[in-house]
Amino acid sequence: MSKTNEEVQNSSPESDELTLDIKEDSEIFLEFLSEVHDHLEDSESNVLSIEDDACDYETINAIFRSIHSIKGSAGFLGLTEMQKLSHELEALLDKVRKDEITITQEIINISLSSIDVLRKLRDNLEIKVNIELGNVKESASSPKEQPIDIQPLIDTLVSILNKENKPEEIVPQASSDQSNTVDTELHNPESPQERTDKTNNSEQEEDFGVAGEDQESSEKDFLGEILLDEGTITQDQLDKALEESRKKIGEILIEEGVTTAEKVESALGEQKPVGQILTEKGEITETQLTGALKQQDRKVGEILVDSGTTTANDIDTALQSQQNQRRTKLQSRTVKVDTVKLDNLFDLVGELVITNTLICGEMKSANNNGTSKNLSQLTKITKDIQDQVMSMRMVTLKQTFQKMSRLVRDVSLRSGKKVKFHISGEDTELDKNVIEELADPLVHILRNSIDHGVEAEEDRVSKGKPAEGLVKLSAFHRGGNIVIEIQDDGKGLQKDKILQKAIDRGMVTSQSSLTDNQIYNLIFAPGLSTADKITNISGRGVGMDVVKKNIEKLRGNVEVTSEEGKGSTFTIKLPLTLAIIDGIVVNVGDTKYIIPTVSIEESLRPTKEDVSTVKNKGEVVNIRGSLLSLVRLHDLYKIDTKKTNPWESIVVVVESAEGKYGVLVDELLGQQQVVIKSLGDRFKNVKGISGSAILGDGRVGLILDVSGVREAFIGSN
Amino acid sequence: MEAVAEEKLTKSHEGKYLTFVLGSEEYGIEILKVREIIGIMDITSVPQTPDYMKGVINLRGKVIPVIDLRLKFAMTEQEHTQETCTIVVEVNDSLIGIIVDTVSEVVDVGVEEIEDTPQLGQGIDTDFITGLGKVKEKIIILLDIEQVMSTEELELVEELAK
Repeated sequence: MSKTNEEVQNSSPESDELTLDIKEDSEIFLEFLSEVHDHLEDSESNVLSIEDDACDYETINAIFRSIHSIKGSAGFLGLTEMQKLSHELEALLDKVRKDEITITQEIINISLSSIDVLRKLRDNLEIKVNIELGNVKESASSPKEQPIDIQPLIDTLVSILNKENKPEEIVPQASSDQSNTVDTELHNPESPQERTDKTNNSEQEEDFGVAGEDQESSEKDFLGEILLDEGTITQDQLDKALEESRKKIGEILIEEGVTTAEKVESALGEQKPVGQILTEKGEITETQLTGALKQQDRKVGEILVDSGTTTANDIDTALQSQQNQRRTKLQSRTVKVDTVKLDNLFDLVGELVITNTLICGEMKSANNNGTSKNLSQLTKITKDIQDQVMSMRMVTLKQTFQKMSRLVRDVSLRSGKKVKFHISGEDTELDKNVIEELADPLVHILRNSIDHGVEAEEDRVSKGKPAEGLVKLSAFHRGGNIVIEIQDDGKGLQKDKILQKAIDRGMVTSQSSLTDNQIYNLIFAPGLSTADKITNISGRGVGMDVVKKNIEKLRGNVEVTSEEGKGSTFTIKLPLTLAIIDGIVVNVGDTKYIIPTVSIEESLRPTKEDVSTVKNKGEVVNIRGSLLSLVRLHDLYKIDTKKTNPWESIVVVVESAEGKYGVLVDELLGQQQVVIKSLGDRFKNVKGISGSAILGDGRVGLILDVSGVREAFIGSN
Repeated sequence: MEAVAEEKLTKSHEGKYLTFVLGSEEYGIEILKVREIIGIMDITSVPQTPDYMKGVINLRGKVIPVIDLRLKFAMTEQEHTQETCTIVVEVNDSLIGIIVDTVSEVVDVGVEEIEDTPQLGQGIDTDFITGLGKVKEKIIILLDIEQVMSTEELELVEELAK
């Protein structure tokens, strides 16, 4: 795609003549950017699913609709490049869905490339809009529009469109394992009704209403309609089948000649199910009843196949489409909310909880029965609101995992290896902030798995492994955390190589004995890479330690286990939400601090004898034999406090990445779960403070970052 | 950049201003930048920050920084009285509180009533001042609150880098 700058002149973004002014109609542009983003994501994932398993009409149609929308909106706004490109892609997709062109790898590749370019065009527009609206100031470091030449892509699309079509090749097929689970979907989603209900002659509202609606607009839910649309059956055949399926038990029995109309009538007069009555009266036998019921239970699809009107294959295809449609209908029941609004709501709810707690505290003394009942009701409702709002910030991993699908495909193509990619647990929810930070580490690990883990095809075959490598990405809840696992069946980590490299770099001595696990986890150390050559995908030894740092920033951790020759598994553990932290509240003078529970080892009041000064090391405190540095928080942060003697205050032993030490505070106030509030850019350079939280009394407490405090302490000496 | 600077000079600074008192002078901030006015709240001080950065407060669930404008303008700090207020302003999409002695009123300053800033003595960088307004016999120093805040950020970064 990249050409020299001169050739790109005529397709610079300035050639778009916008019909609207960005400043005046900013909402339209922002809406457009958001919609196009979603359309492109959907299209990409649909194209990938076509590439992976089978393709069906509904998926192709969905892609067509997305691109069609993009074309329309782009045209409306005067974005000629986007419109031109999406127009050609739309034309191609139209031919595919009409079966005039068959889907080949070439078409899939060109679709993905077009989506990429459309994305870049959209990003360019976003940059332009941000600058116009003043969201971003133009500077040397601000993002710039990238010149893109769409002509080669258009030429390729046009040439495919003009090629001869060969209808005998790949035809959209439904995958065969769909047929088993399909039966439940044929009827309208009715709850499993009892058989006696079905034999009742009350009207079953089976609205198999066949409406001749426009293909693109309506939700085609009914199998019969879908088959009709696809031209597999005719209206007459459908009507006949519908009639059959609607037949009431009485009719069927009469038709079968088992009983007469009058007997059915009289049976109807009573309340019991017709079949039962007739059986009791001895008019028909159990077997006859069962036979007739079987006929009644037959689904439209079965009847059509039995009567030879259509084939099982066609039914399968249609059923697949019905499923997909149902899925898309469910997905559209959401509302887009600005995340700023969510954050504001979250803050207010926090305050609501605090105020509620304060009132409850005051009311305890008042002892008014009526009020206390109402108050506890209020507390319950407040807690409910808080839970709801917290859950609103949760987003599923779906989009992130979809991005990974695309990545795995691209990386495996580039490295020339065949890789099968399994995803599970994409419906697992995470706090939206965590999800944003998760993408990069996942990309790194996946790249590594494919690049270094999975062996080349011949290699694998000679080892007796399947030619295709398997990479599994899964997410699930475990023990109050979210666990994300990346597993590959490649050659695994080479223990000896890693150990050797670590020794070479002086990270470990040759004498130290490390367990296998410890050796494997050495790969997260900075600068360590056992790759023999550096590709532009990985091998420089900067990937894994960055991954570890980023995940630790999210208060999670990452580990790896492996078996040589068999494969490796990376396990990422994350807390359910970034926003809340469990901590011990302490005070130093007038200020309250929160020390995260995960960093605390213990707390104690030392005796005078335990505290001493060591030359060049400063104050130390003796804890059961080991001497730990003592950091006086009031000293470090210049706080006024009367408690300057350690034996009159509390020493909290904390553990940072660099080691343990003791923090001197006035007193421990209690344990609390608090919502983390960022202090903002202004305070980002304050060493040792990682954020703030609103405490139970409404005041602000500062959250200590034990590594930062250590740094500040060392720096000040 | 030059075009922007010129635009600033010629931009009219007329409009409504919220006036407040610091020491013996009266200042004004564009009313559109003022979010709210609150009394003095419990301030949690943040270590390793300049003197005038008093700390942070809890504003209905949001944690925002608070500056003592007296100290920022190199005046002596004064004890808070009944009249001391915190003006919450919105600057660069973030909120910040400013402690002032008293809040006076909202005045309308017309274009004719604004004069260019003469060179004052030390203490106040005249970059902060967009002009002097003459309203009802008083002189109101019209502040460019964004300038005040942006230099404050710079100084903060420098201080912490020490």
